[in-house]
Order: sequence, then structure tokens, then C-alpha cells
Amino acid sequence: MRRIAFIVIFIFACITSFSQSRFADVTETAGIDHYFQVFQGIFGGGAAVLDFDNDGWEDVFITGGAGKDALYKNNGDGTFSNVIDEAGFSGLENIVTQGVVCADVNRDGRIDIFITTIAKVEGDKFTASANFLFINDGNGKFTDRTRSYGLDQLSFSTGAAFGDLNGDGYPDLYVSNFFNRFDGRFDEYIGAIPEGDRAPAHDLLYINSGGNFIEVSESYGLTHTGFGFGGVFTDYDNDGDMDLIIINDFGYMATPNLLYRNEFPQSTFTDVSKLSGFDLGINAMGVGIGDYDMDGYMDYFISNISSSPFLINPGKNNAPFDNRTRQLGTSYPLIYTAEGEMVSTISWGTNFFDYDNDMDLDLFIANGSLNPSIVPNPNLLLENMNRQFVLNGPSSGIYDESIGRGSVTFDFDNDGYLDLLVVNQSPYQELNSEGDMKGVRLYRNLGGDKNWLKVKLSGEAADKNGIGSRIEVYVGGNKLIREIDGGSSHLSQNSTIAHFGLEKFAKVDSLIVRWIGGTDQILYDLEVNQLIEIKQGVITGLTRNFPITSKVLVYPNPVTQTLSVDIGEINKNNGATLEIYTQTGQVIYRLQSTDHLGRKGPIQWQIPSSMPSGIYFIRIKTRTEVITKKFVKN
Amino acid sequence: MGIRVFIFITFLLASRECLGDHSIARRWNEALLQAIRNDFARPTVHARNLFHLSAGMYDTWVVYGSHGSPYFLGEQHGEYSFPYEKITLPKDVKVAREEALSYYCYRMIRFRFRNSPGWEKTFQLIDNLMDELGYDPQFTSEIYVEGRPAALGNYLAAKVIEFGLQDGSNEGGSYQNLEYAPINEPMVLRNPVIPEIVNPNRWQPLAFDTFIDQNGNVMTAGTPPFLSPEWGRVIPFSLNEEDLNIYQVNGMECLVYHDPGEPFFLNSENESISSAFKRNFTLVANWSSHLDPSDGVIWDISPGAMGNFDIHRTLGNDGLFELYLDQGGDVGTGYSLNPKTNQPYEPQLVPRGDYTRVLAEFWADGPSSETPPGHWFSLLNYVNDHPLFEKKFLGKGEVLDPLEWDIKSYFLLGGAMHDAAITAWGIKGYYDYVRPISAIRYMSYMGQSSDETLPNYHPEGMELMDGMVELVEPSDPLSGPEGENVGKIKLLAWKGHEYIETAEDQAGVGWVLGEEWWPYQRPTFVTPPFAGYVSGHSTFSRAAAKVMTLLTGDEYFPGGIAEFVAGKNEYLVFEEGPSVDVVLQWARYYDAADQCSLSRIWGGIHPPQDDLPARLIGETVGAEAFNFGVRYFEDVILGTNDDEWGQSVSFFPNPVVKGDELYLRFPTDRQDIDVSIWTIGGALVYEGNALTSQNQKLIFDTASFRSGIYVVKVTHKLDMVAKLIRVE
Repeated sequence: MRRIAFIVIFIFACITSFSQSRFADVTETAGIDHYFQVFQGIFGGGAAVLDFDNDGWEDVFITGGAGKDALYKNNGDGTFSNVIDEAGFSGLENIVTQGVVCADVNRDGRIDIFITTIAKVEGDKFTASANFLFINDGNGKFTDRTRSYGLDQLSFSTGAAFGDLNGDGYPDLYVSNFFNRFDGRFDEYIGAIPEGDRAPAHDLLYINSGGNFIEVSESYGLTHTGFGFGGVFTDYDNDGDMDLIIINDFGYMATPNLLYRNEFPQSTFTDVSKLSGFDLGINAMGVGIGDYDMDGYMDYFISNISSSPFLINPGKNNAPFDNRTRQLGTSYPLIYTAEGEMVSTISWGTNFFDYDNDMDLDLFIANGSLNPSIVPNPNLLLENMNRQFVLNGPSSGIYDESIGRGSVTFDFDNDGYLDLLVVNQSPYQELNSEGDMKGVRLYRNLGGDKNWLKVKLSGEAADKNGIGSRIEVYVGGNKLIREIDGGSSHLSQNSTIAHFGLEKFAKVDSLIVRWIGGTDQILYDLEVNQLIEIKQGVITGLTRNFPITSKVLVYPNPVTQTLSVDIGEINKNNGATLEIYTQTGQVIYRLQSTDHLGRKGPIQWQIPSSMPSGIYFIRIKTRTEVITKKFVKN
Repeated sequence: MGIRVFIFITFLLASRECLGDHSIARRWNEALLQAIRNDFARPTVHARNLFHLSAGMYDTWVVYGSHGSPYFLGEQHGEYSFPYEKITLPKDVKVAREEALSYYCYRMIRFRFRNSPGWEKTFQLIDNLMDELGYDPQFTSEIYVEGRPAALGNYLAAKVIEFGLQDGSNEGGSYQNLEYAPINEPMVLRNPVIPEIVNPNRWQPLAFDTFIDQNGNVMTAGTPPFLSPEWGRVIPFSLNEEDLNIYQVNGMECLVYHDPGEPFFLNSENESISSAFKRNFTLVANWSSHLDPSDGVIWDISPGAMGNFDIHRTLGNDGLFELYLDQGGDVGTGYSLNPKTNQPYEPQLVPRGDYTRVLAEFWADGPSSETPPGHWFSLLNYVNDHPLFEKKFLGKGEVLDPLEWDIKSYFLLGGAMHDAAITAWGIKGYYDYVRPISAIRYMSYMGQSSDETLPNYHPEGMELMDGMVELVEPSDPLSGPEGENVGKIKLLAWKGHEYIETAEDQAGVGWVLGEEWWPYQRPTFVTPPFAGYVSGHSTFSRAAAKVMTLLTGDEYFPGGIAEFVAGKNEYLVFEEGPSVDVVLQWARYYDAADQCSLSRIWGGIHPPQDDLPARLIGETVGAEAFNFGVRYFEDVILGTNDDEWGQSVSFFPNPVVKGDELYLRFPTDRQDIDVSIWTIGGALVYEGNALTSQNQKLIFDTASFRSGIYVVKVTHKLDMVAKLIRVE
């Protein structure tokens, strides 16, 4: 009951927080001045969040299409400087870039950058191009190592994603291709044709063997062709390995979306697209990943033209994913412009993030015209209110109608509230009266008074930045999960620092890192409003809280039959609660008392014989403190 | 926009008061009406907003007082409960009420209008109002027990918002449709040929623009989807499950209250039904030929010559066409005397073309308006401000203080408007019936159905009518440069927007091709984006008129007349006019409602069969909402009829004609059942118990009862069922 009461109060708290615009467009003051220059139309525009100089302030790389790419260094004072010219990046002249993802491919502690491209264009000459891998030299410079790392196949590539498929700590790479061949014609329209030059392309899957990428799509069973717009590595079935979701444009004409289940430790995928209901034939543009209903399983939002599917993970149930976008309030086939006109929605970038720090994941969708045809197409911010999404439109501060593409979330000002960056294209043709089509937008989250926790992973056996690893946070009876992003949204990559909104909770009961590759790491009783860096295999965070937890004694540990809990000095006159719960946060025993709790010596609890062996937690909650202890049942 | 504000100001000036003198409820009601004008024209959504605001206001009044029962707080509606711990009354109840009410309204408007195109103006307006009232909007606490009244307002708003996210309206999904899909392709208004219709009996979307999609297809843009076809699912105020039909249509569940049955269909096997379809829509086209002020037709539009129309009259062989005259208007012939002054109404002679155009715009309630339910709140406020009006509940007893009057009248009217919307749109969604613009253009495109020997015959074509519906001859100016229009249907009608370049132009009436016929509406609006059958305007208006009649205990406006002045060459929005000052006048609330209904025919968006059933339904809905709502003004919460025991008690007939017998039916076990009948003023007129009844029935002879509303209470131990019975 008490827990329910808490939840109810928090829902109110989030409802009443509509008092002001949530985001402010700070692009100009932040010194960001960048357009994605579209080549002929439609394609491209991504951003990746990275800390290339390891100064604790997250930077952002933004592709430039037919124009120049940009590397915006975060100066830590609310401004950014474009350091692309100083940072190397040679060889990108005349290259039409598309998307970008980052990972430490050589495990040297410095983040590297992978850029997808569609072509090289010189004058009228249009030639296919390889993608680009830039290795971080550590002195603020990057060097093109595409060829030496084995990534120099010619391709018309859109999105890419990093993920460690085989648990060796080296980030593997998926590259999504669109056309088989494309010679730069721009006749009647840019569209897909199922055969010939503009037939759908094969995708690329590379295993990173430690300094060298080997293309393995065929041996992994990745033989489809599709009008690919990217993919994400994600653990959809909670079996601890990276599965692969591939999204395809024109899925109704060619290959629909795909879900490949990783059969690790075997080096192969199983195509479970049909079985899982993932095989939607739509104009898929991007993917957002998040457990919107806190059931411990990742759900997926697939951006599309018109209504975008919201695929609910069936979890343990042996059922396909369920598209509940209409019921959840995330389906906007039509949207009102600022002028009050109704237009078809064209969605690209999409991100789950808890922008109001109320613990549940909200959803951002970057919309934009196809270009060259331009119709104002405002972005959508959908707030999760008790599992129902509600639109926070014009008054939210992000209702920009420009030609949106990729979008990323990160906390650029380190205030604990997630900010947003949206890549916008420049209009391909001169505009007459279609309004002001803005370039890349940076939206600062104006924040609030709620608590948060940020977690930065530092892998040892696992990927250096923890890409693909999962973090579980237990607080207030809820389990919040995040996967470290190796590339998602549209041609983009969010921050690899996980962010958790924590409402008004003063403590995180526990935090589990499920490192990709196998090991778990558990931390208890964490202070809120901090960034913690968790190094794989090293216990951090616990020591800080030992003085408090030492007041509570739990014995014997491990326990077989009777557990004793001595709550000692705790002020129990204010109504203390004792709860015993499982690793998944399920409360299995609760004792609530104003008088008797612990007054007559230790509390004795007979452990039911039916209780499975394993790790359990005891939480003592008073008005002033929350103490969590762990015990093991034999 | 400007015009609407002008009306608004006119109403205020007429009252010779400024807003500062009004009750706090009135001030927030005006703020809400303005927020609605700044929003999309969505009658269903705003009926619900008006209701939720009004009911919440009512709750803040109840909990900081000693009379009545709350509607939300401590109650359950649908699956949703509103937990409430009773507060201790503060010393100054008046101050507390104003504070709680203001915070409630502020939070509600802030949430409900956050995505409105005019959100900035609305936020500014309510921020200013809070500022003026001395309240800090940043105070967001919801801990109301031992807290400030503001916290109660915030708490109530949070709960009502949460309630609203699961009440069937799909507010969470911006009120979009979950299952409904139109079966007809949109009509592209710019290309006035309409072969897209799959089924001419069904609704067709209107496309205002087109664009080329990614694949080179021509796509429609600016095509408003059907507004609220699934609105029957919304949790109502007083609507009764006994009046509910649930239908399955292509996997879509349609909840239809007060189902009026099928409308007339074209191409029906029954020729008379097809013919009635044609006649309905032909009448709409004909009435659009009345929209010319220079045709020499002069009407007396005063209550001395118009109105006083009885919608309950028995219809003869010609059905509802007996009520709607070819020359326009209905069979009502007005009143010989103003009953308040015992003087005849002064005649007012104006060109029919001015009167009808002013009507069409006055009652349009489309873009930038407060929508039909809001319009009736404006009329209620107008009555409230009238110098001759006394705020006596049911027209009896003591004059209420302005706050109590406003609170109660908004609550009842809000409930009725909400139920009217649910009823009308439930019907609209289920029957999905065609609008005149589609029906007239379609039938005209098909040809004529009068004579197989004449050119261009098609059974789904228009029926020819000399001087009104004819075929284009080769010599006709409409025949076209290549004679391509020869043999097509032409209509005598308002000529449409192509004849208007500036707002100083006037399209006038003349022959137009039937397939290019336009309703008299704004070019950006043309026809509301939802099915015609049944008319929302008629449902709302009749329900509201019923509520105002019951509420004031008087069918007549204060002084026996209400007026609205439409200034010469100022009032009309998209064309020049009216050519003289036109004063709309109504004697009874019903006259205003009836006139609103007729205006939709002249406006070209409803045929008679959309109208009359809607008026009858509106009357029922209005009366039921009123009777249901006044229960809350009792000091004890009355039984809500939803428990099993309560269900087994029935009362009939209601209303009962004085002198007839009133029956009460009980469950089999009649032990411990007491029956009492009270006047609405609280006087006991009967007391007894069920053991005296025969065959589980108690029969009253109402001969000794005076006309009016009575509360019949049936108690069984701690259960109570109460019903308002009207003796007429």
C-alpha cells in the first residue's frame, strides 16, 4: 500500500510540472552553427556524442553531408567550439557523409569515430565511396585508418552501430546500406526501385578482431538486401548478448524490418523477424530503445512516415512484439504546424529519455520534410504519464519545424537533466515562403528539482565505454534499465553515459551492471545527483555508504532458516518499514510498525522453505533514512 | 477572430458590468472560453473541457462549504476513484473557495491547452488572471490536508487530469482516433470533380491541399480527419446504460446513446428512402439560394413572426418536410404577445438574404470560436448579466449569491453539453453519414434521376426541379468553352468563394454547376470534419435550451426577449454584408436553439434529417443531465443507481403528466424499504413504505401534485436511490 501511495504522489508531481517550457533553444549562445547539406535530397544527417578529449564534458560530432562535418568540443561553460579543422579528418573533401557512431575500436582508452558515406562528388562526377574510420591519436587529432582496419568497401551507407557481438571486449560494427548502386541521378524523384541500380543493398557486418575488422555478414546469416536506414545492437531477450535490429525504408517494396537473434557463443544469428512480429514493411527511419513500462525488457520505437510503431516487448511471454503506438498515444500520422495546418508526419531521429527526471522514459521524435519538398514538420516531445504518452507540443520549446534528421540526448551542461541535439538539413532548393528552416539545434533542458544519477562505465573485459552493457537501478520499488548506446536514433548515437531520473528519492537502493560479455557487478545504497564511474571488476560506491549501513546487522549471512536483523540505533519511532525483496525488486516480505520494530532486540524472520536460493535485499526505511543490506539464502 | 471578440465585448457591454465585478467562477469560465477560441474548433473536446472545469469548480465550492456533495472528490467515475480526505473548514470559506477554484482552473487550462495553437496567448491570459487575483502559479503543492486551499485546487486538477487520461477520450493520444477509418477517399476541394466516393451514404474527408510524397504519389495534405467518431466511449455525466447500444463495425466498437436509427440512404432498395435522401440534400441546395440580400424577399424576423415552433408535433405523410419550408425557415409563426410585457413584439423587416447569412455565421461556431457548447455558456452568461434576471434556482425561492448561481448553472450546463457531445458524436461515428457538400456534388456528378428519356440519367442523380435543379443547355453560360458541361446538373444556389476576391465582394446567388456547389462557410473550413447525422449544433442547442429553461424555471429569456446586433457591412466575415443592421431576436431559449438548427441548413452543412432527431435527443439529454446534476446539490450523497439493489428499483413514467399515475417498482424483498417524496425545495409531500405496495409496485395518484420537480427517495437500510420526477 505504502508503495502505491508513493507512486501516486509522484505521478501528481510530474503532472503539475507543466509550468514552463521544458527546453530552451541555446544553439546560438552555445556557438553551434551547422547545417547538414543535403546531396540532391532526402538522405542524411546524424550526430554522435563522445568525449574525445576525456575532459568530462561531452562533445558532439555532426555530419555535414555534401558540406563539411563538424566536431564540436564542449568547452564546459555552455559553449562549444568546432575543432574539425584542427583535428585532422583528412580525406573527407568532396565526400557526402551521412551518419556517425563512436567507440574505442582499439581499446586504447580514446574514443574513435566511424562515419558513413554515400559517395564522393567532384563537379558532375559521382563515384561510390568507402566509409571512414578515424582513430583518435590522443593529441586532439584523428587519423584516417579505414583501409588498415579493413573497412574500405565501397558502399552507399546510411546508419551504423557498434556492439560487441562475441563478448571479446572489442566493439563489432554493423553498417546499413541503402542502394546497391546509385549514380547520382536526380531525375523525377529520389525513390526506391526494387531492381536495377537502385535495388536494395546488402548490409555489412564486421567483427572487430582487435585492430582489424572482418566482414562476416554471410557467415552470420545476414544475407538480406534492403533499403537500410540503420540498425541497433540491443539485448531484446535479456539473454546477455547483443541482438541486432535492422530497419529498412520501403519495407513494403523490399525487405521489411529485421530482428536477428544472436546465438552467442555460436557465431551466428537467427532471423526471428517474423516470429517476433518485427517484420514491419514500413518506411522505417530510426529506432529508439527504452523500457518505457519498467518491466525489465527493452521496448522499441521505430520512426516512420505517418504513424510510427511502438513495439512492446512481450518479455517472458512467448508472444510477438505488439505494436501499441495508437493506444500509447505515440501515433501521430498527422501533426499540426505552428500555423495550424495539418501535415503528414515524417519521423527520423527518436530517443527515449527521462527528460523530467520522474523515473519513466519519455520520447522525443525528430521530424522533417523529405527535402527537396518542404512542408513544416514539427518535432514531437511525448511525456510518459503513467504509461500513457501525452504530447507536449508547442509549449515544450522543441516544436521546431525544420528539416530534422538524427537526434541525440546527452547532458552537455552536466546539470543532471538530459539535453537534446537535433541535426537539421538545409533545404536543397531555394525556399520561397516555406518559413525559416533552421540548422542543427541544441536544446538545453531547463531542469527542475528532481534527483538523478548518471553512470559512466569503464570496461575491462567488456567494451571500454560499456557499449551494450546494461545498467539496472532499483529505487522506490522500481527497476530502471538502460543499455549503453552504440548507435541508434537516425544515423546517430546518444551519450554513452547512462542517465536515470529519480524523482525525489534520496537514495538508489542498488545498481547492477550487467557487463556485456558476462559478469555482473552490484553496488548498493548510492547517493543521488552524482555521476559515478564504474570500473569493471572494481567495487565502487559502496564504501561511501558503509557508515550508515553498519548500523544494521543482518545475520547469519548466508542464511538457511532464520534471519536476524538488528536495526540498532535507527530512529524507529517515526514509523519504520522493513522490506525484503528479490534482485528484481519484488517485495516478498514487509513489516511495518510504529512501535515494535526492533525495540525488543533483533527481528527474527523465518525464511519460507519455498524461497529460492540466491541474493536478497533487506531495506529498512524510516522517515529520515533508507538502509539497504544484502544477504544470501543458501 | 476580431469578430468573435467583438461579440464577446458586445455581450459584456450589454450587461453594463465589467468582469471585475463577476464571481470567480465567471472569471475562470470567461478565461476558459477565451482559451477555447485560441484552440482548434473541437466541439467534443471543448464540451468535455467545459464540463471538467465546471464540475471541478463545483467541487471546490462544495468542499469549502456545508451544502451539496462533490462530483469528483471522494467519488468514482468509471474505473477511476478520486481519493479525498475531508478537510476542516477554514474561517473564511469565501477566500478559500476562490483560491482553490483558481488553482484548479489554472492547472486545468494550462494542461488542456498546452498544445493549442494559441497557447502563448492563453498562458498569458491565465498568468495575468492569477497575478491579478494575487495567486502565485509557482505554488504547486498538492498536500491539501492541513494545507492551503491552493493545494486542494492543485490536487483536484492533478486527479482530473489523470482521470481524463483514461476516460475514453484518448486525450493522451491528442484525441486521435484509435480505430475509425473513413471508407471514402478525400474530396480534393480544388479539383471539383468527385469520383472518389465509394459509398455516397458515408462521410468523405475534405482535402484542402496536396503534395508529392517520397514515391512521387500525389498525397492529400491539410485533410482533417474525422473528429471524435469514437467519442461515444467517453465516460459521460448522466447518460444511462439503458439508452446505450453497442455496435461492432469492422472491428470498431461503437457506443451509441439514444440511437435514432438509420438515416435515409441513396440507392436504397426502397425507392421512397432514396427519394427522401435526394429531397433532404436538394433542400439544402435550395436554401442556399436564399443567401442573396438583393432578391427582394423581406422577412419579419422578430419573435412576433418567427419561432414558437413545436418539435413534438405529429408528422403527417410528408414527414419532416412538413416542418421545413421551401422558401426557408420552419412552420413556427411566432408569438402574438411578449408574455413579460403583454405587448406585441415589434416587427423587424430585413432582407431574407441578410438574415440567413447572419444566422449562418452567428451560429457557425467554427474556427476561432468558443464552439457550440461554449456558445451556450456565453448565452448563459448573457442571461446572468441581464438586468431583469433574478438568480433564483428553478425560478423559485431566494436569490442565490452570484458565485453559487454561477457554480451550479455551469455544472448543470457543462454536464449537459458533455453528454450532448458524447451522444451526438457516438451517433456520428456509427452512422458515418455523408455531408451535403459530398452528397450534392456526387448526385450532380452522376446526373439527373427524374426522367430516363432526358440526357444524363442516373438513378443516383439529382431530381430535377424547375427553377432550382435543371440541366445545362448548350446556350447556357455554364456550358463551357467546348460545351463540356452541357447536360450536367446546375443548381440555383449561393455561388461560392470563386466569386469573392476581397471581403467587400459578395458572391450572390445564381446558377452553378452542382458538382461545384459550395456551402456558405469559410473557404478554409467548408464543412466541419465529421459526419452530419445527427447535428451536433442541434443536440447541443436543444440540450442547453432545456437546461436553461429548467434552471431558470422559465422558458423565456429575461424580459421575454434576447437580442444580438449584427452591424451593417461589418458582421459577415468572408463576404460583404449584411446590407442592413440585423438584430437576431429570440423569445424563448428554444427559439434560439431552433434558429441555430436552421442556420446549419442555410450554412449548407446539414439537411433536415440531421436536425430534427438531434433536437429531440438534445431535449432528452438536457433534461436528464439536469435531473441527474441537481442531485449533487443535496446535502447527502444520493444513491448512484449503480449498485444492484438500486438497479432493481424503477420509476416510471418520467415526466409524469399531472393526474396520471406514477409507478415505483421494487425488488421482491420489500422489507425495510421506505419511500418519501420531496419538493425540490425540500418540503416532504409523501412518506410511506413498500409494504403498502401491491405486486412490488407503488402507485401514486399525482392529481394532487403541483407541476414541477420532485425528488423521490427510496431507502433500504443504508442504501438510497433517488430520482427526480417531473410532474407536468
